[in-house]
Amino acid sequence: MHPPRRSWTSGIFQRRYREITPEAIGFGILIGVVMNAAITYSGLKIGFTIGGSAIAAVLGWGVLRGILRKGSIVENNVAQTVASSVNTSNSGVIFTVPVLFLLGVRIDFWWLTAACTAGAILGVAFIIPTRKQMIDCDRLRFPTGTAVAAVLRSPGEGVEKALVLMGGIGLAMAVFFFTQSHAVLGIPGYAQLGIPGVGEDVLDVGMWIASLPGVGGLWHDSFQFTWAIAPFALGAGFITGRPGLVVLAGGLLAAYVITPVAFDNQWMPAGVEADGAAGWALLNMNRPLGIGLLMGGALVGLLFAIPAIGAALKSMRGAGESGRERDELPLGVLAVAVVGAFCVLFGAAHATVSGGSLGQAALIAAVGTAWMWFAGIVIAQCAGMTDWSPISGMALLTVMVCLLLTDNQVVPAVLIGAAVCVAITECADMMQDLKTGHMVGGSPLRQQFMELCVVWIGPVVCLATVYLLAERNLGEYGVAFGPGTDSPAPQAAALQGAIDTIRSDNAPTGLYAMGGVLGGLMSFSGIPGLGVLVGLSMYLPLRYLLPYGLGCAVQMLLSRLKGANWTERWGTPFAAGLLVGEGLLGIVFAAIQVLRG
Amino acid sequence: MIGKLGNLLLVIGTVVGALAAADSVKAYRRIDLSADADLSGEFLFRDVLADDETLLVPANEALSTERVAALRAAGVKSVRVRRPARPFEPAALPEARGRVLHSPVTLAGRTERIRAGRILTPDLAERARAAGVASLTAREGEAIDLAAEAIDFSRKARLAEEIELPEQVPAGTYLDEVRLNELAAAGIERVEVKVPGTWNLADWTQRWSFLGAVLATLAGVALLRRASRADVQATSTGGPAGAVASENPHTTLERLLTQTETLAERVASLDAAALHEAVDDLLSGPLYTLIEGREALRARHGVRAAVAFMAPLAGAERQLNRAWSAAVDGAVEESRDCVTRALAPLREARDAYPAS
Repeated sequence: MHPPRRSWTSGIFQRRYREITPEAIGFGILIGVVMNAAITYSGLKIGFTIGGSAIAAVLGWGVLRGILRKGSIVENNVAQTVASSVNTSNSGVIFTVPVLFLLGVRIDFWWLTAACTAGAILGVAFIIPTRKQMIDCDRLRFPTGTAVAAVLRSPGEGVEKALVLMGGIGLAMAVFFFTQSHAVLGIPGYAQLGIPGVGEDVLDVGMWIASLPGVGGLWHDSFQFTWAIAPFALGAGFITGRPGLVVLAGGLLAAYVITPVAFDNQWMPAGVEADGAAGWALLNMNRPLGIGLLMGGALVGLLFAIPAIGAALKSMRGAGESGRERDELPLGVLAVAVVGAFCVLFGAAHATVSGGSLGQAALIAAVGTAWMWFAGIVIAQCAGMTDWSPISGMALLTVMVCLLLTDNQVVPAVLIGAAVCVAITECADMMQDLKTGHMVGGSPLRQQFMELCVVWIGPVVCLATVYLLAERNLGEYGVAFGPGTDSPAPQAAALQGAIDTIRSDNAPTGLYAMGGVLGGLMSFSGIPGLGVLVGLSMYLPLRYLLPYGLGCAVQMLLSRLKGANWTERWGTPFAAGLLVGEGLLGIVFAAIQVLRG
Repeated sequence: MIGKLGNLLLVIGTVVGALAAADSVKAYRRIDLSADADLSGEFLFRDVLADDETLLVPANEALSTERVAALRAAGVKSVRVRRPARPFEPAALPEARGRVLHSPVTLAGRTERIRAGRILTPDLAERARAAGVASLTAREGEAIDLAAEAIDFSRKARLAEEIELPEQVPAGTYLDEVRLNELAAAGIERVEVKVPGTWNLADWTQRWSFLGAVLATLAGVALLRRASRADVQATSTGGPAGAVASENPHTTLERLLTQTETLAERVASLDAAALHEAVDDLLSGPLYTLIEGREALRARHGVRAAVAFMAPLAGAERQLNRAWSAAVDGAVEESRDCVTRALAPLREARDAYPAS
């Protein structure tokens, strides 16, 4: 006989150990809103975004424990979950929405917000059932989640480990400071040292090698061997360890095989010089091939994971029936969220498709929703294995599919694309947070409940910021974003180029397909995520992959010399510090830019 | 050995396959001059040189009948032509529906006001120059000479005054019904549109290399899977056992369960610091060993068995992590409860662990 069923809500609010508290929710929302607006603003100006978990975790200690004097580890975990959930939608929005402004078309703010909110809810609802598979069974590393857990656990890890963590944070801040100091504060940075090959945030090691006597002749003109000054990449690589080394493979294939071979054999148009070869090859060969590899690898990987996902779902259902305390939100709640969000998406699609039928709107919403599920899993797996989220590739594919469905209507295509991008960024963020929660003993049910409650706030804040900025720019420059304004929206400009290519029937669909075949085959090898990782790294900037790979190699070396347990205990906090330190300083720089207007 | 060969084939297959795929989008195609094909509309991809390196025909020249004849006479058997021949083509407005504009179109008689404050970009400077504007004034009061060869756009000079320029439909605009009507109303009859990409299997010279690469990858995958199965068999018959070599997983699991049960029995007598230390030992000892050995379990017993074991084990781990955090926070009652709550999933994991 089964024990009596308990309501799933009965386990959410408990008072014995501080977890979900008004302070944690209030702090999380406040910091999430501030970060979201600041990062949206700086993202439109300079094109980069920052994750919010680590920053919220560090600030959480200061506010909840330091000022309010009552925060617990799991309470701070809820605070960072709420904050990052509210913050994270910005990377999905700034990739897509400004494209509409760049193309000179306007879309109703409320439909766009409704679609992005629906996307955020769908992202969370879709990814929750895969938690057991990715975190409990596959034990994916989720480097940012691991780093945040290291911050949250620091009060119990002893003084020595806290010092190691602080050392990592301090070093990362010191190194990262001079990459931005000149642009943001006017303080001379690396580029102002006047050393050849030292840029604002890169070291052109290839240039140094090429200038070595006896070696320079062997160095190929189109080779790029530039290292980003990016402590976070080093830290993420270290936390990932040996599995992350595969990430380098695709980068090396793209940079040192395909690009020089294509250049030497004159596969590129006349006029492409050696220093432009990598850029041409990235756009026309490596990125489409990499996206194909990634998608093919992910599809086959997903087929292999179906038994694990099925078993995990069975375990979720079993938990509800056994009368034991629930781990996760019930599937029924998630189903209601999915149906509700789908209806909103359908309404948004119907309102924006010109001359479209209800059937066409339903098809667009259905394909968009199905794509969110698949792409969300792919993104979460990539984030789990490497810490990188291939949002740009997914955005491109999404818009391509939507343009196909809407007969090249850009407004509904970007609308659904924005919703998908918000969904998949929420998927990756949710899994990072759940990984942190696992490592500090947080309740997944409570984290999921909170995430579902607050996830709608992010798109509202982010889109309000985008529209306010657009209005301001229209008043000041006569155009909303792009050239001629101080908000060039570089990521959206890249997507605009891709839309242009798709609508002029020049999309490299053949390369997508060939990459898909290779990626699919690689995933049959039994090496976890091989096709996905190689594909992903073919179009990530090599300058970040190199320090990332170095981090993996250092972790492997230390594991061999000092043992895996020692490396985990002492190396991971330091690597976590590197990851967190750069993020902390990044948000300070973003805030300075916002304050300067 | 089999595994190494599998890896090698996988690497070779991937590299050759990726290169062969990249070849499919190369910017030229080779055409045979001996055939009587119509070559009008084709343009040379690069300079064509004679055997003594003298220039026969320069790059980008159209392949007229006379040029083809001259090349044949010079003994040239084949040449490379641009692919696509032109990136754009002129089109009458009705034919331009559904195409993308290649070059901007100026709408005669319509003007656009460029506000003061707009940052000067190369495109804007070009438009102004084309409209006959000789110089602009920056907000700082400095005059910008548009005829100058090098204008420094990096300093992002802002216009001091509003200017009026002929309105433009920018390059990249998708020509739908509304746009076409707008262009027609402005008296435009023809526009330059982007040429759609064409993909011809015959132009993909490395297609057989790609097929070979796929087969090599397939063979590599098969060998790797075979090697993986052999490893699992070796493990189960006493061979190298991966991360949990020093102890049978059953024994480790029993040890973890016994230690947790012992801790649960005396948990009421422990204070926060002692609880913290005891739970830390469990987490970094037998539990860590079991989790590190999960891949061997999956390889030996399959995905379902691994999930059935790992899901409750991870549940127990989370309860112990919570006990650890609660002990650090001084929430002793919660910490004690979590230790007790870890027992049920641990027993579930023990029951789920495959017998052999």
